[in-house]
Amino acid sequence: MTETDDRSAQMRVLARRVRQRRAEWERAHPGRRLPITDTLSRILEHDPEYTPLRPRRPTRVRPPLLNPGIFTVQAIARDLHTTVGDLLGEPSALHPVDVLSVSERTLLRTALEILITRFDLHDPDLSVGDQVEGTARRDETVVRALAGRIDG
Amino acid sequence: MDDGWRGRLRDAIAASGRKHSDVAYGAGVTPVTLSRILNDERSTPYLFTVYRLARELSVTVGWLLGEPEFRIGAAERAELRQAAKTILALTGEDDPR
Repeated sequence: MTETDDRSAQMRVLARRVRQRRAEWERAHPGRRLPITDTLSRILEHDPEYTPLRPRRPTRVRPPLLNPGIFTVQAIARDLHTTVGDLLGEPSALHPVDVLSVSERTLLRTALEILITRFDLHDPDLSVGDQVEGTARRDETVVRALAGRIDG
Repeated sequence: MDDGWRGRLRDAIAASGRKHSDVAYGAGVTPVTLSRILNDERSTPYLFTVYRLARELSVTVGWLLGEPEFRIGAAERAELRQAAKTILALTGEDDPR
């Protein structure tokens, strides 16, 4: 693979990640949109699945960005509430949603919805129960610690 | 961007035990470029310059930039295990089919 091929492939990864993270952010914040700046648009154009709001004019001079500045990418990552490492697909920078596949997330969410519904887990009395149980556990620990001192 | 990443780049070069020029040529940049990146706070390196340097030094761009990594901690794993035990106890550990 030539350096140009490598760079193009990396730009496609970057563009796809930016598009995905942007979509995730917008799903998490209904009614709000992250603006697409000129620079961001020139990065997103590397992603074959990216559809610009307006079609690119044939006379447009500025081509897709082949090597953005590191500060530029960092600013984009910050806007998307993620990291440069995540946008580059670096293994040490996995985003929480990458840990599970879409089907696994769907399955887990369905299972949790069943549990929440069947056991009425939104019951406000449950949080009081947690506190009581936590207090009881702490008290038991103290009693055991005291008993240990007495026995010793 | 704070200057911490330049310090980490210096540390990575030092840890590699290689000369600056060797690292620079290995990453496909000139020693002058590497020197400018390391010493000129106004320098704004390109993404792929940093990417190639990181790869040459067997580190990640994220690490160089001091970015947090995503990890599930021991406490979260313990909570997940407890939740899994509860769910298994509720549903039966055998395959319900």
